Parts: sequence; structure tokens; C-alpha cells
Amino acid sequence: MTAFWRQVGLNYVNYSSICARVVRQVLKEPHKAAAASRDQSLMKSSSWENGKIVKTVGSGAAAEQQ
Amino acid sequence: MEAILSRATPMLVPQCGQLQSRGMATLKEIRIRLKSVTNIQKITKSMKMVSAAKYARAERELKPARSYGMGAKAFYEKVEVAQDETKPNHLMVAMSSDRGLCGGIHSAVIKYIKAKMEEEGSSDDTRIIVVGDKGKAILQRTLSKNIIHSFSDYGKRPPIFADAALVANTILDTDFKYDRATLVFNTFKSVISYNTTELPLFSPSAIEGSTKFNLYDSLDEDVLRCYNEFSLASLVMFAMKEGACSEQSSRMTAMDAASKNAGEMIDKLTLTFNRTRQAVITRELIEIISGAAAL
Repeated sequence: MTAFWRQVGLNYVNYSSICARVVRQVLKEPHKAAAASRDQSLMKSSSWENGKIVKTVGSGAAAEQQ
Repeated sequence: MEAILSRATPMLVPQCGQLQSRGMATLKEIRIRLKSVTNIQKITKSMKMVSAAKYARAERELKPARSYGMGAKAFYEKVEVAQDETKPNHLMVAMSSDRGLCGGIHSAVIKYIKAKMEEEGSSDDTRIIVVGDKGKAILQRTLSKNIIHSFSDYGKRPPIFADAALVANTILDTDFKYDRATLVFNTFKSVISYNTTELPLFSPSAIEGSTKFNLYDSLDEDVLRCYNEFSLASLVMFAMKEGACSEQSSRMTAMDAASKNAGEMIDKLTLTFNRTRQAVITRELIEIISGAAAL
């Protein structure tokens, strides 16, 4: 049987990053702030077609929500 | 920075030849040049200090990241899965970054990809995912048709797993149906050297097809798929950390060389400046003395 998160269209990387986020949120204060800085990627991702950028998605967080 | 400094030197030479004829003007010019070179040296020196601190951090972070990469790589080696070099559709992932002034780090990766494409002679069937603006800028000039994805805003701070996850997801979700995939990045060797390396990435079906795969007990399709996705992200993370560490070390070396070159230029300029000043004084003295003698 496939896992429930696979059935809703997530892959293991998405699934584990969601789990990691939950773990980060339950940390206590001095560690929580340090872990929060590792929470989200600031990278911009652009897809190309025929040598031109066709679409740019802001940061990693925005890309994940889509 | 080195380029700027070396370009500045030949401009100075004709001025030195003419200094006897127009001493005062050159004296001022030399002073201005001396000041600007000193400022450049200050900048390169402080950039070196900054990158030395960043390098120390990158190297500290590289060690734990290496074990993830090595672990993922070891599985592929143990299972003896190989890439079929004859299949045409090739996906290459280039690891560069946003920041320049670090020697040949970015161009080494891009050159490696270009050489690989030429060797295979299948430039139409190769697609490239590029991480970092510098690599993108180089590829855009000649191979813009082959790029399917690019990432920017990368390299300002040390890479984190979320960055690697984003890249791994893009590789997994891409529309391009690739037969084999390669990760190209710089491996950190020592402060002064790095190697441009390629790392093959495999799909679950390729692993299942390998001969040694049956040795693993109770591995169903689902577990393998999950593991493969995770090890892809681990490998990307490993490549990012290696790249970041080589970049910082290379920037440190480059800035050190630039400061040294600026120092040499300052020495030469100071010498020329003093000589010119002396010549001006001598000439003024001669003018006064000969004027007094003519009275």
C-alpha cells in the first residue's frame, strides 16, 4: 500500500521537510530561533523555455505552497 | 579584481616616460593613482578577511554534510548500478553561486559541462538545471536553449537543506524525460585546490535493474522510491556544501593574490612618485640657480 502522503501528491522530500518543520516548531527558545533560520529556502526558481525565462517563483516557501 | 589591477599597470607606463617634460601634472596623477590603488588594496584585504571567516564556517559544516553524500554514493556503488552512456537524454545539474570574485570556480563547472556535451555530441538532447546566477550568466551566452531551470539568490548565506530540497524537487518534477542525470560541482580538496567532479543520479527503475539489487532483503518499490528521493536531496546538499566551501577558499586565495599585486603596485608607484618629486625639486633648483647666475 502506498503511504497516505504519496496519495495526495507529495514526494518523500516534501514529506520529510514538513516533518522537519513540525520538529523545529516544538523546540524550546534558544534552539528554536536558530532552527527557524534553517527553515525556509530564500532561493528564487525560474523555469526556462527556448532560451528565455518564462516563469519565476519567489522564494522556496511560495514554491512549496503551490 | 586581479584583472582591474593588471589592466591599470600598462596605462601608467607612458606617463612615467613623459614625467621629465611635465613633472607637476604627473606628480598629481601619480598621487591620485596611488590613492586609488591603496583603496583597492584595502577592499581586497577586507574581502579576504571576510571570506576567511566564511571559509572556516563552510569547512566546519562540510564535514557532517560529507557523510550524507558519501552514504548515498556508497549505496549506488554497492548496488553496482551504472549509467547507460548510449542513451541520449541527459540532464545535467550545475552547482555554481551568485557571488563572483572567486577565481575560476564558476567557469570550471561550466567548462566541464561544455566539454562533456561536446564529447557526447548530443547538445540537443542535453538539458541543464543551473544553481546560482554566475553559472547562469555564463551558460546563457552559448547554451541558453538547453537550460530548463535556474535558481538565483543562492550563495549569500551557507546552503541549507531547504535549498537542496527545492533543487531535488525540481529534478524530480521536471517535464524533461531524462535517461540519465549528472550533478556537476566543485569538490573541496584543500585551501588552494578544488576538483570539478561529476556525480551520477539514478532513477528507481535503474536501481531495480541492477544485478546486485536482489541482495537487499524486503525492499519494496515504495521504500526504494522514498530512499532514492531522499538520497537525491542528500547528494544535492553534499554538492552544495562542497561547492560553497571551495568557493570561499578560492575567494580567499584570489583576494590574497589581489592584495599582493596591489602591494607590488603601491611599491612601484611610491618609487615613481618619489623620483618624480625629486626631479621636480631638482628642476626648480636649476631654474633658480641659473636665474641667479644670469643676473
